Amino acid sequence: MNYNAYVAFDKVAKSLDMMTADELRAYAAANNFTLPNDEGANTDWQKEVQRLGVSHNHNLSVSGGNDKSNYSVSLNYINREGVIRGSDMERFNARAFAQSTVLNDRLTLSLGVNASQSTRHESGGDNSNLSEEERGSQNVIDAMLYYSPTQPIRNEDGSWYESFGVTNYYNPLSLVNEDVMKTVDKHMMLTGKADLKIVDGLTWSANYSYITDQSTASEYHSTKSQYVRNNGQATRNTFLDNKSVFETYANYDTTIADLHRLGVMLGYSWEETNSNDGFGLTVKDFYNDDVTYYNLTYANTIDGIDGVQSGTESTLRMISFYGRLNYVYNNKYSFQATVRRDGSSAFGRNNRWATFPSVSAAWRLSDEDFIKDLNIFDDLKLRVGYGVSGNSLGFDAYTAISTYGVSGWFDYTDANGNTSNKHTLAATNNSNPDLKWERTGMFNIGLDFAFFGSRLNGTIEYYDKRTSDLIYYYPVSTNRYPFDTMTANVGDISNKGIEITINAIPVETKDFRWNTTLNLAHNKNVVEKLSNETFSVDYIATAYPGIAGNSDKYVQRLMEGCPIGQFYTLEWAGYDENGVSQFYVHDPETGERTGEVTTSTAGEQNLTKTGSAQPKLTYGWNNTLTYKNWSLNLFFQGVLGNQIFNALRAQYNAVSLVTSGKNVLASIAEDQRFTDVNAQTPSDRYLENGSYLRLSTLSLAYNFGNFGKWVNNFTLYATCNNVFTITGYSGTDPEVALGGLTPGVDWSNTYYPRTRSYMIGMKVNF
Amino acid sequence: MKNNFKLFMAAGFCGLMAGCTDLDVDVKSQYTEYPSDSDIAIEAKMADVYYAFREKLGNEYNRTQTLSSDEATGISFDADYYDGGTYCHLSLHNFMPSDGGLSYWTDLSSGITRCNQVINDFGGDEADPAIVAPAKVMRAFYHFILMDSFGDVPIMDHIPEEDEAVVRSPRAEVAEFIERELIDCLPYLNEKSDASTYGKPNKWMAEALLVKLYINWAVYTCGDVTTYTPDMPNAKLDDCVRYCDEIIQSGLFDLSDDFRRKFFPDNGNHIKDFIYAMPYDCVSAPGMYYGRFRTFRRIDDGNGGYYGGEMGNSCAGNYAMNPEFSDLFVLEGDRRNDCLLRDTVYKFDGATYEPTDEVFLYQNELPLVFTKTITLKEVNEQLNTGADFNGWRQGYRSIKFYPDPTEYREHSRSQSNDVPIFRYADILLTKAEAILRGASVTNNDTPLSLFNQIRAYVNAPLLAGAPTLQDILDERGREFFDENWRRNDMIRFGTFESEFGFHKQGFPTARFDKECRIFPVPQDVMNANTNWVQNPGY
Repeated sequence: MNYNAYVAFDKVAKSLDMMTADELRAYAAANNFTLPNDEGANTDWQKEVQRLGVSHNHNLSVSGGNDKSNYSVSLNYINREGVIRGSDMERFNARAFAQSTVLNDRLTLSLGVNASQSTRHESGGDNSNLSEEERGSQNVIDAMLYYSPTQPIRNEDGSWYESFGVTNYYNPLSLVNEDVMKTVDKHMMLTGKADLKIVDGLTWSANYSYITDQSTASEYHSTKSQYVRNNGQATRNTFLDNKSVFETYANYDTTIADLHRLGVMLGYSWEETNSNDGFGLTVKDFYNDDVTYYNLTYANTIDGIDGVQSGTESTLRMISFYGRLNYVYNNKYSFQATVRRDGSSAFGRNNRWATFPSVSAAWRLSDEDFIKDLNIFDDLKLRVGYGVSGNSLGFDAYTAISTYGVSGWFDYTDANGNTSNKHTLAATNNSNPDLKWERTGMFNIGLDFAFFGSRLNGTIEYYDKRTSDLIYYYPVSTNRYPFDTMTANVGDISNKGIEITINAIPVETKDFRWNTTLNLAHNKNVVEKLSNETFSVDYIATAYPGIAGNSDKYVQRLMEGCPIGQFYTLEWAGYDENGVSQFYVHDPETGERTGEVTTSTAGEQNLTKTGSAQPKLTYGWNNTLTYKNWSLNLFFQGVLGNQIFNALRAQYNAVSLVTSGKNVLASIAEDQRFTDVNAQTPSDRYLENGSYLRLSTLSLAYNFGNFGKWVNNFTLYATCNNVFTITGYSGTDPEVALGGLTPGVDWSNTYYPRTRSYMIGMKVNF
Repeated sequence: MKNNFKLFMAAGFCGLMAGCTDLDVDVKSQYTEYPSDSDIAIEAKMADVYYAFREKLGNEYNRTQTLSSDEATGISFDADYYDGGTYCHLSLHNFMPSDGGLSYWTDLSSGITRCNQVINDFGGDEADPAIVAPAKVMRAFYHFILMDSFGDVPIMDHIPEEDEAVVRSPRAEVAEFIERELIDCLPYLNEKSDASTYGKPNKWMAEALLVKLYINWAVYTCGDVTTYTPDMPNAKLDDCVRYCDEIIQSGLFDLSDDFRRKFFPDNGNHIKDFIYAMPYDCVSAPGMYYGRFRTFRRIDDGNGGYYGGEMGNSCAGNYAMNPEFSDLFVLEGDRRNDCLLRDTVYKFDGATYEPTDEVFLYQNELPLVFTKTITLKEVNEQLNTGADFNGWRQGYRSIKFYPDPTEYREHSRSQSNDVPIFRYADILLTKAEAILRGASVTNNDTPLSLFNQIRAYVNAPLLAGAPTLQDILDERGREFFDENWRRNDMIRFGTFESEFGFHKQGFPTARFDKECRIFPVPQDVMNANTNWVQNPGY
């Protein structure tokens, strides 16, 4: 029986340096304008909204058994407070597993159940009813940045301070208290497995899993809400998802003449996922806020059918036949071949099935005499392989089918002259029946090595991965299609790189040991092709940062010959004589700078390649030092050589925010000119080097050993996460998302403060 | 027996195999083909194509047509509402392909594609003309808006094949295509004009579109837009008058509605002046935002707004009426003068929308007084009046499409005021204009008698002598401002390159080139059609 528990304290590691009220007033005085809404207050909104989050986590597990059966049960409870007021999470999780061998040890049966329920609270709520330009403004994290420090938190009568003259402007503490959302997620997974030994070396296995999820959201905007002005509004909805997986395979292993080891496996798997099956409704106009969302029938109004929501249920089925052959000669030479025949319901009738083979071979060089004679290597193994795998996830499962639904309302007059509102009908997608499997072929060659009695070992690996028929959204002309994007097999991308892992024990004495592991990875990513027979574009503009006043500006392009995350922006050229930012002009034919500059930011002809979001090196360095019963763990990680587009800094450098009544970064007093209407225009001015080194985890533990015969092991530990970061990046956190198709952007509308947490915990084994 | 067993096993195995490899999933939550069980569903499918223009007509289209004309100037307040120049570019005729206001091209071509799909679904070339006539009329209408704005556009009378390139046709050919389609459809269109046809294409809407097409025929068929002059001959003037007469003789329309009431939030099919309108409803048909841009920026920082309640959502208030345009509203007794908010602002009653005696006080202290002339803080393309009380009140404002404060507050600024596209008053003035330009007189209607019908219903002084073309242009300004026809009128009368607002010779970035008579093709449309060439002058 084990009991683990910890208490954690989370704090925001680095807040944004926004202007204080006095700095704003000084800025206005220096630039000869009046602040439009100075109420004389001095509020630090980030401080008001952020807090110390206290969390605790408990885990109890019991396991046991004998040589025929075993079981394990574990319970887990976590309660977590977010660093943003109004956000917290609580989850309870139970897991049970039992396994038994019957029928003369031939049949092994196991059953596992995993169930959890979590409840989350946060403020803000669903924003789908807001227009594109308004989204994000109701996010309390955005509001604590844009809300002017010259506003008080409350009015004299105790109500939240409110200002209507400013567009998309809501009091952050009003958002925390008056706009709340609770989400309850229930999850259950059932797994059953059977393994049958038929004869020696031949086993047959089957397993079945069933996963069901239900997520219920309840949202309430009180009568005092500043962005939902409906005298109280409640929304509740629930979504049900489930997934069934069935798999069966037979394995035959045999050894011939003590030299040849042969293994054959044949299998079949069937999987179906049903998702987005849900419904809900929104009601408004309550007498008061007493029942919040607990009694929807107390509302006075509903917007008819438009107040009802429904998820669009979608079913994805995947079937697979697979076989594997492996052969080892004398424990030295091994060879493996696999073939998969996969089918997915997401593709058009003619493209559902595809074959994915792979082969690999390995050579244990350290067993060869010429290597043994060198007496250097304890282990040396050369591996090489090539395989193709497929992807059918990440897009609407019904893309290949033409689907229709309701698109709006019209007035229908019947034969008697009575008029009623009815739905109009239209296609709901641009269907693509030619959509087919996305294929990734990977070649890799690697060397595993070990020296000095395995005190130093590691791996070097080179890989070349090419994804073809990448599935993404193609912009298409509305002269042919009702919608302006089409999900299609867009192009090819390649990833080539080297990964090195080194494990070493540099110091080992009787009492002290230092274990270290270093991981280095270098990856080169290139978009090889962006067109196919049906669709052809020169580039696809991606990464839309939504900077104020720049609604047509994207900052990246997918282009042939460039990596994903190729920044393609204006080039900043300083200020003109009126103090307005200007940009280099590029010749529309050659793309070269003409030497001229312009303050006009319209159009695309002056955009050019300005950097890449892809890092040259990604690394992680883990160190464990043990001295007698003490152990200290340090984990460093970082990246080198990437650029980050600091959209948050661009957005809060917009001088027009001050004149419209909002807050900006304190640095604009020195870095920007008041006359500069182009201050926030996305250009290479906001492209920064994103390299960083971070001490991610620092953990110190003491193992007390056993206490009599009741406690086998008792360990106490203290951990700090995100200890320090060394970086030249001016934003709050250089660790931005590097995956997907828009890496390397520090978005302004999904900013979440990076936290530092301190944990104290214990592990007891009874 | 053994064979039967083997057969049974084989059948079972096959069944298992079929089940094992079945990838056909049911689509449970959407239709996989149009429901065609009921007549209502069939009409529902057709009705989808009627409202493709709704979203843009409620915002961006109105922006381009109003600000590029002499009606109003798009001002900014110390970079607040400068928005990359999307408003001031229009006022100075410095149109750019990246301007957000031009984004209606994609909506209209999507609407045309949906019309073509519906026509295909009903049988394509073999379809019953009576069934597909409404879709063909809407298709012609969308072509008309595109052609009026952008000049040469593709004639999409079918869904293009996979390898078929889409090319732009000359404007004159598009005009002829529209004319042909409308005339072919006329016999099959509904002749009623009541709740059952409101907002939908009927015979009168098609004829009104023909009237509009014909009065502008010289503009559309002159070839190079820079060559057009207002005294060019127009071969279709008599046809124009013919269709005006059909509409007038139908007896279905009149000018009995009060001018102000026609544009209130509760307007609808009961307005006898509306031949064809775009219906809006703050709940079920949102997207109409005219009030947002014409309302004082800080309306809620005062004694309860001036529309009769708190707006609850911010207002832009950056469409400032040009002083030259406001000079039209000086006729004594003219009901249309009540659609302007000028000088001292009095609060309106939130139920009746009529003015009260109470003055609107900004911050409960200062009476709000709109100025006639617009004063800039500095002379540059930003058209900046300054972000303070003085800056926000530069220029008169239009309250024609009166925003109801409750709707504005509870439905994210969406208004329920329907926007008329073709009005009976427009037909009368167009007939008067056609006769003045040289059409034959019919039914004893003289330009004077037609003109005075308008003057009479708005209680303005009647004209004594025959109106001149300038009188017609001015009267159209008084009658149809904010209704998206002013730019079209100015181009036809040759005044689009005149001086108004800040569109004055020597003003930084102001353009007077005749190429500006058509807008540039929007940048994302150029990107999606790599074989096209941009309009000259851009």
